[in-house]
Amino acid sequence: MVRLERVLRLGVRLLPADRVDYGRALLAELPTIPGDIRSRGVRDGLRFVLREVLLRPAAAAYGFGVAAATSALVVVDQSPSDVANQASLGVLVIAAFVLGGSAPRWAWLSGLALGVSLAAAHAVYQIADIPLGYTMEPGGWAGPVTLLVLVVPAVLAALAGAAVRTVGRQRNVA
Amino acid sequence: VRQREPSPQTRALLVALREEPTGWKHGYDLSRKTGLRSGTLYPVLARLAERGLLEAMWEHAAPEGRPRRHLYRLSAAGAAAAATLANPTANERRLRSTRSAAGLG
Repeated sequence: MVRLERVLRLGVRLLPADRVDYGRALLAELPTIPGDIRSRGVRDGLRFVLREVLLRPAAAAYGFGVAAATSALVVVDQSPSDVANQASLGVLVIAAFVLGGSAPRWAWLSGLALGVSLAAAHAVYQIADIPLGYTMEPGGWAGPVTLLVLVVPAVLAALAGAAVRTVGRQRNVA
Repeated sequence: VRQREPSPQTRALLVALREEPTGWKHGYDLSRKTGLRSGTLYPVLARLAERGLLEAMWEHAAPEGRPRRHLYRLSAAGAAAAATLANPTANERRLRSTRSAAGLG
């Protein structure tokens, strides 16, 4: 139960701005709820958090954006062109920057998802024995593992996008 | 603009808040009075506040042994809406009876 409460506390931090107070209110009530029904309160709270975080048009649009960006990245990476690596890196950085700016609170997740996507795709190629249109160096499982380095530029670009958006908002308010 | 009938949960909440219109109530108290679980209660509270039917604030000072609570009470518009629910006008009564006769709820 303590673990579930911890998850709930983390989840409340992810709530949209117009729901955060209600999530905190729910947490503030927990100590006063009798023990036998407190666990039910925690589970209900998690349901509230999940619904408010995931079942929103903005969340759906964000999920679609991440899916579209990772798909585009994987398609560009499959090209045998000499400049495909540079193009992939360009798509990665631009997509991470845009997604980070569109959802600053989730910038780390955007960067992580994009950064891991190519490593995951190459892991699938390994498992399914799918031939590539180019020679991967290093070969074997070292290929997907080395691609994890893309997490660094992706997360940095996403955080940069979030920072630009946040500064822009602050200027508009001022 | 099409006015939708409030859900049974919203009705129950408005009725509970109307019992003591000027007093501030907290979530657990409302949950006990209405029987609504927190997963239902808090979204309804948030929607009522968005529509201007509810005022919300945090307790000013944290009492010993527990965190500050978020408190709720009806706004003037909320009190009017709750009163309408309790005493529907003749027109609304007629509309409801027509719907009921037509098997629409």
